[in-house]
Amino acid sequence: MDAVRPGIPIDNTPRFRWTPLDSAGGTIALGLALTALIVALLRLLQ
Amino acid sequence: MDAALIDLGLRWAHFAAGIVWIGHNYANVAQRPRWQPLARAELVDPTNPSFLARLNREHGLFRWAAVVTWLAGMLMLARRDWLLPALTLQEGLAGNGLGAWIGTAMMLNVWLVLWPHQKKVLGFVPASVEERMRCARVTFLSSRTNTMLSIPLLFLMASSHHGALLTG
Repeated sequence: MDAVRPGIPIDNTPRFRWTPLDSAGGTIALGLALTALIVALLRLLQ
Repeated sequence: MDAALIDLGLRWAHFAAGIVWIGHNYANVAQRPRWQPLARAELVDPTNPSFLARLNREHGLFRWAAVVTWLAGMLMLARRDWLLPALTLQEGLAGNGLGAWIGTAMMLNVWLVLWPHQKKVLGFVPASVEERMRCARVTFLSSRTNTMLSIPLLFLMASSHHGALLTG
């Protein structure tokens, strides 16, 4: 395995599939949606 | 020592360590709102020991803050004999139990997913450039998953004393 040394450029940067977690807004929206789901679940349980 | 004092200390530790831990996640969101591939300038020079030591201290702080937060929360539940009823989502303790499960998943995410990959990204463990770029993606998603999970977790922490929304 070739360890990284300073000066070596990064070529062929891989592309990854987009997910909502890739943006701050998407992360917060998912968190709020999960919170709403949990509230609904807890109201059912109690 | 007075039982109420122990409980207060645990609660304090739970909040304080939780702020150190989760605050690190939100600092990361502010610094990097969107995913960007790792740039060459971001690759740590593994021959710079003082920079590596600073990174190690920073990452060690929030990793161990996660353990303190989790442990204090579990001890608070255990001291009241609430651990089993909460974890099995029994009536009245389901909110605490869900919070405990989410917190456990987040703590395990830090130690079992984020940290092994972060060690390669930061240069603590030798890895090829391609491997470091792949690991940077894993650590990004791992960190963002914890940021996302912190939203219901903090809600459940708040609602344990103000739970009118949950009881209907």
